[in-house]
Amino acid sequence: MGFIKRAFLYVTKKRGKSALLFIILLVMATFVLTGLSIEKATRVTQDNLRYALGGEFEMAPDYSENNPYYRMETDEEGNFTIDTKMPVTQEIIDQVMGTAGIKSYDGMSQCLVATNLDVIPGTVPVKDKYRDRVYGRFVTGTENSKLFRDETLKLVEGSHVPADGGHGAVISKALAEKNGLKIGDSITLTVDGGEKTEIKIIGLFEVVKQEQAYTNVNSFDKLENQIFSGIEAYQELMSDSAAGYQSVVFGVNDPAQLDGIVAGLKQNDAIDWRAFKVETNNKTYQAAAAPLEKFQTLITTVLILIVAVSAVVLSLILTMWAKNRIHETGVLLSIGIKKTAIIGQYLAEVLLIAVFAFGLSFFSSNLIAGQIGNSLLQAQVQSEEEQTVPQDDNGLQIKMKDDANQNDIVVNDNGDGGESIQKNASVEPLDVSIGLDNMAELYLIGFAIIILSVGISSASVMRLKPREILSKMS
Amino acid sequence: MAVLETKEVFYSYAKGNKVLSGVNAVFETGLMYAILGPSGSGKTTLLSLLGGLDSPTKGEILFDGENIAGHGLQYYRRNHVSLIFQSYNLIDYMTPVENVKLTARQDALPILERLGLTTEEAKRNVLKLSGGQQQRVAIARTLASGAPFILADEPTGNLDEDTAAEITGILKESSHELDKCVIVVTHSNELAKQADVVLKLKRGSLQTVKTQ
Repeated sequence: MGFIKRAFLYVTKKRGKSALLFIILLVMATFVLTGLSIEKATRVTQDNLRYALGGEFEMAPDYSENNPYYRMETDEEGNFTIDTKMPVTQEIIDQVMGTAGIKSYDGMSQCLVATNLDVIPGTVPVKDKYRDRVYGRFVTGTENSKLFRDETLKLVEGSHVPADGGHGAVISKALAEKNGLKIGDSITLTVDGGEKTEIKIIGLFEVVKQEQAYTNVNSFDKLENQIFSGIEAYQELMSDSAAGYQSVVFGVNDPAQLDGIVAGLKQNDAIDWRAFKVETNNKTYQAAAAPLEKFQTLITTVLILIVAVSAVVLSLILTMWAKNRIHETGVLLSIGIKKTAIIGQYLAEVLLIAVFAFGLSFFSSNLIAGQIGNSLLQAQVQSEEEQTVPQDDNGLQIKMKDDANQNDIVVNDNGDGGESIQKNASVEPLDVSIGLDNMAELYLIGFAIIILSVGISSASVMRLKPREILSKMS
Repeated sequence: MAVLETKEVFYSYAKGNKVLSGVNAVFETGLMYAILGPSGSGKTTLLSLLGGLDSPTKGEILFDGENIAGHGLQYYRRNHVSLIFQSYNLIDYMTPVENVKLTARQDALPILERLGLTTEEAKRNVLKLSGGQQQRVAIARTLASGAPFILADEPTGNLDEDTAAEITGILKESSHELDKCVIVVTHSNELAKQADVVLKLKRGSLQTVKTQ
């Protein structure tokens, strides 16, 4: 009679023990499977979050002595201008966009322009010279521009400035109404040097979120006064400067890869990196992912604990049972059955029950995994929120920008150089489901625990000689 | 004819207690042997050594001229020897048929029926059988194994007089008709009377009391 047949006889005839072992294995498997499925759901949610939020890095000219293309000029009145002969050109943008993992870019140059418009007044007074001045933002399309992308501004009439620039312009509806302007009308922009350009209104926007950084400001910093147009208009105004952008923000698919992408990019010799500063930003992702990462660590720890406790409990029970089965072991040895075949029988018995217990745990885990997972996650998120900075009434979380180094020269600061306002990204509930991969993992882990436990429990008996076992029997 | 032989077999426990001191004996198939001796004289120890459950401290045990440890004691137990115990030592979750099948090289039921069990009894749980029936199952298991040597340790110790006589008869029949060598360790003089050869273990040595 083979060991599997003996195992089958034991399992079917010792029904009480088999039922008890079945319940133990079912509970064990339910916990392990629940842990595995929550861990997987957390991982998937993290991945989704990464790809949904993305990350970005900004490439801008380095306005410091480190940049060989940098120049600063001071006039007789002591006013100074700074410039670079190497802005971020379209050619450089194309080089960067050729790097794997980068999905988009948002380029911008900006300068103060005189408009002859009756601008919307700010809360901070300005000199007469600046009364009709506003910020001209010359972008690679307004649709992809950060203020429109994060819905601070919203196009309400007409169309966006296209990606390829041109002289089309988008201004605020408030500014247009105050000056009797409408789509199709033209505005002339002038800079201090006397250069002019004419832009044509193709769209109107409204300020959707009146953010703190743009409220207590002078007139030209107000969002309602800002004019968006294409890079060609900027180049006409700045004809003595090199053609290019003052800042380009590149979006990456996976914020977790951000540092690696930037490091890889800097190996590209086609770009003279002495001329640029690169600053990464994946704070939104990090803020949202922090509770998930901690949660995943917690779940992994709990899972390891469950596995360890299961192994210990199972070993203890099987050891107890093995001692009760010393008689049987002695008889089997005395009739010439190998020790390995006896251990094989004991192992087969547990595995036979485990196959069914693990299978049933699919249903029991399905019942509880989602609830447990989301309860634990909510607890983790709450704990995280209590530890982070307070939020305002609108659920907005205010954070100081990392790059607010006072020694940096801030060029054409439009008010967003001091503080940025970031929406606190929320963590979606986990979609916990048990898949075939979880079941395979359960069987793998479960069988490993069982093999270990049977090995441990059999060792004390199997190291004895048959006669010693038979002596114990008598 | 198969022969089991002990040559200058010594056995002592780890504490130094000497149990066997140079046991020399020859056992042949076709005969029933009885080994007598007072409690603690080493009868069960000698039977364990003959059964390959333990190894002598010194000396050797030969099966057909070869040391039984040559192919491993497990191989020896599996193929050449079969044991019967006073407490039957059956597997409690199996039926008689299943117990016999543990070692069987032949159909279990006819052997059980030959030893007096009905078909219904042969398929009942062993714990639901009487002591005599359980010992019959144990004997059936040894016969089914095909081993030429049957070693029995007080096989009638737990049985009433009539049943003991029946079991003794079966063992004797097995040796004579099935050409087995039956070696019985016993306190029972009645059983010893039925043996072809009677040996006595005294002070660690084996002495012949009765020969064929």
